[in-house]
Amino acid sequence: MYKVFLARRYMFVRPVSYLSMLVIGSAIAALIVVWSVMDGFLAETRELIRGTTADIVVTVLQSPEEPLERASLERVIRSTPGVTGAVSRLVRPAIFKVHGRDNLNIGTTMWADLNMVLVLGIDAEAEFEVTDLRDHLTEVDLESQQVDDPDTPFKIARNRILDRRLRMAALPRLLMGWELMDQLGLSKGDAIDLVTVPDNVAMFESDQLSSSSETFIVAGAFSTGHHESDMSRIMLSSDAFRRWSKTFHEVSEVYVSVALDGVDELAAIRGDLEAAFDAAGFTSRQVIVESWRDRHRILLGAVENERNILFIVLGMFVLLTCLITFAVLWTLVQEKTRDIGILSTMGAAPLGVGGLFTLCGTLISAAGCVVGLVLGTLIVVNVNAIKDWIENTFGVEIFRRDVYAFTEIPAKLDHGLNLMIVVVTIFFSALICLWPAWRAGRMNPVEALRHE
Amino acid sequence: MTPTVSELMHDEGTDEATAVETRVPADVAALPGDGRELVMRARGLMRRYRMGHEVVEVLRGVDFDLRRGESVAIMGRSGAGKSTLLHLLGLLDTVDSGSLEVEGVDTTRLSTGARSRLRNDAVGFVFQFYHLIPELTALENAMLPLRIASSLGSWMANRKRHREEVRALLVELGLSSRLFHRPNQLSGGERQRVALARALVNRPRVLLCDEPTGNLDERTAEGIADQLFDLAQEHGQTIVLVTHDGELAQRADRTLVMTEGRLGLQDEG
Ligand SMILES: Nc1ncnc2c1ncn2[C@@H]1O[C@H](COP(=O)(O)OP(=O)(O)O)[C@@H](O)[C@H]1O
Ligand SMILES: [Mg+2]
Repeated sequence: MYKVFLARRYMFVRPVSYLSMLVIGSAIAALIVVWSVMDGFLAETRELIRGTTADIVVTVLQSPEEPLERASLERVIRSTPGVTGAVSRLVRPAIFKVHGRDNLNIGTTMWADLNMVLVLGIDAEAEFEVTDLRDHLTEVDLESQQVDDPDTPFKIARNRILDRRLRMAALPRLLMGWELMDQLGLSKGDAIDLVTVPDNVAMFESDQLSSSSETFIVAGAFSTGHHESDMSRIMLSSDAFRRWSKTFHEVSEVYVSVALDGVDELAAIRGDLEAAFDAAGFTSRQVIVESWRDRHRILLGAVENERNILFIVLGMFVLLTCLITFAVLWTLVQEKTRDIGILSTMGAAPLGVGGLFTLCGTLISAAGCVVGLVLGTLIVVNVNAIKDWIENTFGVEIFRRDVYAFTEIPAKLDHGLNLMIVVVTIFFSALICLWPAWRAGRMNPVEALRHE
Repeated sequence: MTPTVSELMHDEGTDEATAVETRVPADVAALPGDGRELVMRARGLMRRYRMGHEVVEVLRGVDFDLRRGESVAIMGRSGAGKSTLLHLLGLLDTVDSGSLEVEGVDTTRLSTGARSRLRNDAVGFVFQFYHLIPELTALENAMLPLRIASSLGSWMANRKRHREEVRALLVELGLSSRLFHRPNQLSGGERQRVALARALVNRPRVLLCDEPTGNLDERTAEGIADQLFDLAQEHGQTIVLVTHDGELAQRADRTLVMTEGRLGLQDEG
């Protein structure tokens, strides 16, 4: 009984214990904040990728000898259990240039260094059924970027074409990521030149190496909320795509949506799809089946890895700060030698004295944990307010939207993990306190009393 | 006053500590003229310290009987081994040879835990330098033995009662306005009174006092001594009092002198 009482009295009158609490607390707060932000970042990244890509993407490697048909591929996919929808797209990179402008604006942004864009040939009706394209069209904020009618996105009234000379030319239309449009200062009705880029070996080997160029009218923008997509994608109708890229191929990617109960199931359905393609006579050189996790495993893995490394480094730092309790306790035992003798005269057993000093050390780290939890939680909850304050006060941008693709710092408290951090910290400091506490416990009471 | 065993032995001029055991009557309590039971019974206590190659024999066969309710003063020059003896009697230290019974229990066979419990229960210490815990108030210092004796449950149940008892004891000792002062805010006399309260609070059967007035001025010393004897008498406690103060020693029922590592009768004159 006296142990808790005395430990509290010993520790809470000493400035050095408050200092140790603060140090341990700061380290724990740093650990909590870094984990929360990194974990939030990972979750947000996953969410973003999730929102802009299909559950499973089947990449179709077309060859001139035996072109693969859209209908037969989709039939295989749709008949696989768990699949809820499939939509085919044509994909090709391109260089673009604003019609009528001379320069290429090279290197204006990170994602459009070479004015490269990814051009998708889509079937709007089919997209509406499977993807969120319709939402992405209506989520555009600027009126000058909104399509006339989201149900028929590639239509634009002739009188809205800004360059009067192009109004009678029956030019094909395109949709553009809103950020790219914004970057280029375009509004709907402007014209764009798209130049094909050779995208497979067959083209290099043939005389098709020459690229083809065509002028398009911007019918409006889409907003996926994913910075990279909104900065570097252009959509054409599949017919317009085929005319522009002079291809007869019907499909280069199939976006598959599935009904999911868990993450494991995604991998299972992916396996089923592979098996189904195999059974239908498609080789692995013709179709590649990847889940969105597979496709983005490098980015996701990098973020996760970074998070884990930071956790390990800061975790070790937290344990290191626990050594402070050791130092504090060691000097405390030295200082309290006489008290140990007195406690013995009153009948305190060696084990009790040892327990008392273990408790002293544990009390410091426990208080440090409380400080850390409170501080960490406060910072995590107010992380964006703090970010804004720093940015406004010091005029520095610490969270760049063009780098991170989010406007807010995503942070997510992991209460289970925080609990674990606290338990490990307290356990560890109790462990290293055992040595000085043991020293105190086996001290000879008579010698302790004679101690000056 | 009836001579006790050790005094008788000393009179017989026994030199060999090892021979002591055989000459002591088996049932000391049955000695004629004194029916009071023995609280402590020490035979041939030896304690030596090793300092490098040299061995210092501090106690060379101490025989000592302590009866319930009596007060014994122990005198002797500095370094004679008085404190060493008190530490042995209080079970703080272990003997090299000899036997020590406390209330009929052979303490040489007890485990560390049992010795600690017996110490808490049966013995109270008062030291020359008070030895209060600086972080605690007077009241908290005095309550500490009760805390040590209690489990969490019994402490919670009896906390209020304990508190009142200790407060009453401190008030009796004249510390009513010093209850919440820390040791460094108290005078020497006040500190020693707190220490006295702490020693008494567990109602120990034996009070071991090691020069309790050695650090106090004459008048304060006298006051403390009054309180010590009064309280001990009130609760029927037994006192062993180490002191250099002849007047204080006079107040005890009998006085022994520590010489040559043994306890003996005071030289008259
Ligand atoms: N831990 C120890 N190591 C060596 N010698 C000791 C130790 N403790 C006490 N002594 C010696 O024992 C002798 C008796 O000491 P003590 O009992 O304190 O004397 P007193 O209380 O009668 O003044 C002294 O000579 C002292 O130096
Ligand atoms: Mg002494």
